[in-house]
Amino acid sequence: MEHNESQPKFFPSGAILFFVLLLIFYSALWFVLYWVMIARS
Amino acid sequence: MTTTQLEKRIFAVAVIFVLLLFGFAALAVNQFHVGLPTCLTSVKPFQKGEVITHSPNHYEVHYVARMWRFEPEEVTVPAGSTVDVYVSTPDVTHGLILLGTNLNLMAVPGVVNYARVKFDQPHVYQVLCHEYCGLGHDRMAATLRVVDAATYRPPQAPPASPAKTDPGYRLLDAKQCLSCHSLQDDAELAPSFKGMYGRSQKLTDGSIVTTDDAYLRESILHPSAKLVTGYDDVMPVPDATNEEVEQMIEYLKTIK
Amino acid sequence: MLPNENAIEIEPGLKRMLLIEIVFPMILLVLGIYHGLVQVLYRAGIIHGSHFLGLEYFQGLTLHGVVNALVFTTFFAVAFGYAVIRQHLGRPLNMKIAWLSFALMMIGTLLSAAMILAEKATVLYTFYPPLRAHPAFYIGLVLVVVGSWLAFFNWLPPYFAWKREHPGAKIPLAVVGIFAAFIVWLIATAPVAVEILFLLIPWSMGWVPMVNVPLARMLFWFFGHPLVYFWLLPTYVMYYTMLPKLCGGKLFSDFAGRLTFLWLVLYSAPVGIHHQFTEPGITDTWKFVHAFFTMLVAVPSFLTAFTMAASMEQGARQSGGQGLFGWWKKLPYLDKDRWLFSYLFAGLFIFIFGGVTGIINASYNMNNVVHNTAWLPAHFHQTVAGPVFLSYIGMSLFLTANLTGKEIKLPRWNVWIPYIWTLGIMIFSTGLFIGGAAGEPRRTNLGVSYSDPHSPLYHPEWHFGDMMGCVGGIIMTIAGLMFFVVFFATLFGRTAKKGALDLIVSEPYHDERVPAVQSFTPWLAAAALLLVIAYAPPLTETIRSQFPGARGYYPHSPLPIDAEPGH
Repeated sequence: MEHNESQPKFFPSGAILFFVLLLIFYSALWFVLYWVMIARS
Repeated sequence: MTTTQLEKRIFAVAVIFVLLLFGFAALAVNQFHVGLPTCLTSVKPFQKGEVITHSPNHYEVHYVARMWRFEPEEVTVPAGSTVDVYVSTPDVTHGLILLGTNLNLMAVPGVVNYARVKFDQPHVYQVLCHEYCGLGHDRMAATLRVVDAATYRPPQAPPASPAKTDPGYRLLDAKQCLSCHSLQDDAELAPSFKGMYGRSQKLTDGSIVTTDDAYLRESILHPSAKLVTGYDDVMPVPDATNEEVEQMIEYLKTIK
Repeated sequence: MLPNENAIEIEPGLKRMLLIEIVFPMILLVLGIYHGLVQVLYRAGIIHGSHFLGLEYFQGLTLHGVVNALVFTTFFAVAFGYAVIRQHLGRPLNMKIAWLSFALMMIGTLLSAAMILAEKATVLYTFYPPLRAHPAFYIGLVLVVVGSWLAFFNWLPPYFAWKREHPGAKIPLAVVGIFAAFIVWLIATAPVAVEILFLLIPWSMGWVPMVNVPLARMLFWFFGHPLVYFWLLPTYVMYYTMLPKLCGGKLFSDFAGRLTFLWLVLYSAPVGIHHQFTEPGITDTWKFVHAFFTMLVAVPSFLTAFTMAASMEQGARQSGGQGLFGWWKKLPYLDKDRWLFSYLFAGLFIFIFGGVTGIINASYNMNNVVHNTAWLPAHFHQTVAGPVFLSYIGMSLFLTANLTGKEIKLPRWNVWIPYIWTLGIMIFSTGLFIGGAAGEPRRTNLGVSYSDPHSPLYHPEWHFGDMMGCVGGIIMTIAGLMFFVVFFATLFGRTAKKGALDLIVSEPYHDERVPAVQSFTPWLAAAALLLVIAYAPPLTETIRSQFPGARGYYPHSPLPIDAEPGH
């Protein structure tokens, strides 16, 4: 069932932005721990 | 773009993202020499903690993780050395972490764990147990000292201490009494053996008892009978013959 | 609550069972949360010593883990599962099997709890041998698991009947999610059933003197990882089927929900060895394979994060939300009529942090930095004690109020509870992350040593993190207490209307039919294949290594149990 054509088409630009920021945050935190591991090696 | 197409793209981005991170981790295995323990079938579980010197900058430490201490409790190596760490346990599961390093190992009964560490700088490291192993777990720690190469002295074989050959001492050790009763001042888990003979002890019922032969004999074979106040009623009954009990009491008389 | 066109009256027997199945674990949860509070007090060194008000530290820790992570979660998943199946498949259930299932779960719980309270099972919720518990502890766990299996089997007849009556139709999304949860549960409980029935019970009964510890651990963690997806899937069912409507919008993608549920069935289990990265006796190749699969099991959660954001955005924009960031303001954070939103949203927020720390833990050699440190409880409080816990208690309240026809008491308090909980968890976890990164151990009564200024083992630099953990834990306890007040006040309040089952059901914004996610069968086949690839080699290796067995020990004695005369 396709969405109702009388509804304006919705593109989740806000969600995409959130997702990109999420990945950036995840990379940053991950690399902090990576750096800890390397510093201790 | 339909929602499904968008979702598929997001899914693909997520897959690539996690695999990229994974790739960095995998890279560090060889680039930075940080790996994980693997299966070592050539080394069987061992009972004795010791340090073996292979060369002035290559050592082997055999840690025995037992309830509730690491043996050896003190290890010293010179800066610049490589240390092969093996850990074995004769009783339950323990953990061994060398704080400030990537050395983080589980001690599992029946199998030996191994990792290699390189020490560049002098530092005093703490080793501690991070897996619940019972009553004394919270105090199960040891020290690994990395000293300046110039000041390092190879460990001398300690003179055979007359105490260690005493039959009473060896019984106390073999029956695990020393796991809780310290020969020093530590009285956290159980009354200390140091100066125990002749000591006045307050019992859980409020009465005072003098630690004589009779009291020791009774407490070894029936620990719950006259319990010292401040301790839980958890002492196990050692499997000891009457003669062994007398030998243990004789030894206790000598620790002032 | 929003008027719901799906509301149905259900059979009084089912209603009664659902309520008991929700209230019984809720009562236990009071004890479970109490010992969470006590723990942070011990760890900050505020309580010195090993006992407090009659409970020993590790006894309480065992209770905390077993009640919160094994009992409460399983009971809720079963109760919620019944609600979903009953409402979405629209037919009554076999009440004899339902009551038998509940009876087994309750008897099992009481048996295990009795052993823990009698200090005969101070082995923590992981019950690693060779620390040994009383056989009744293990038997109790078996009964809980078997009872939960019966519940799932009870849902199969209505499921197949529905499919016959609706040939070719899409299975309701919530049903797919619940079935995914319980398929994962079956996969998970098989190895731990083997561990308990064949290794632990015979040994704890004294029939065999030794236990193969490496094999027991591998079987346990074969269970222990899919366990967390068993927990997470009912939460995801709520996110996909309820959250969008609560925001006044639609589920952005029905496909994303189905893909998430099926992908989790595939990847939940062939990853367990990531809990054993630092263990001996497992070739690092298998650890590497499990790490790789673990990265893939993280993917559906990214998809869910996006899809939830998109669904919330759609609803928010319908309510007038503007701009790339401004639409977040238009979500019903404190709307007491849509209070379930706050429980689900707060959980999503916490999960942002739970997710990244999980990926860190799983990243092969990075595990060396965090294994068995305080980092681990920080991580899992941001997952099981975050999105899972909040959605479970929220839905427990929702179901209770609706089934009994009672109004939510203290509705203005209610909507704040998840945010207070969130504040507590973030402070608690941050403190433990800081401590953990510095090597502070978990599963340790810090108050008697590392947090004790009089102890030679005192670590002053851990004090700040421990105090943060303490403050966070106290705030969490306050939120928990507030919730118990709201829950029990609602339960014992006046009936306002006729009771009904009316789970929220969101419509999909775009309801495409993607063939790959319409059937369980290919995913089940692939899951079986992955399990063979991931577990056949390490299990074979462990068995063939013939590691010497270990004798049993009680936590208080360094002597093996069978070494004591007349044991």
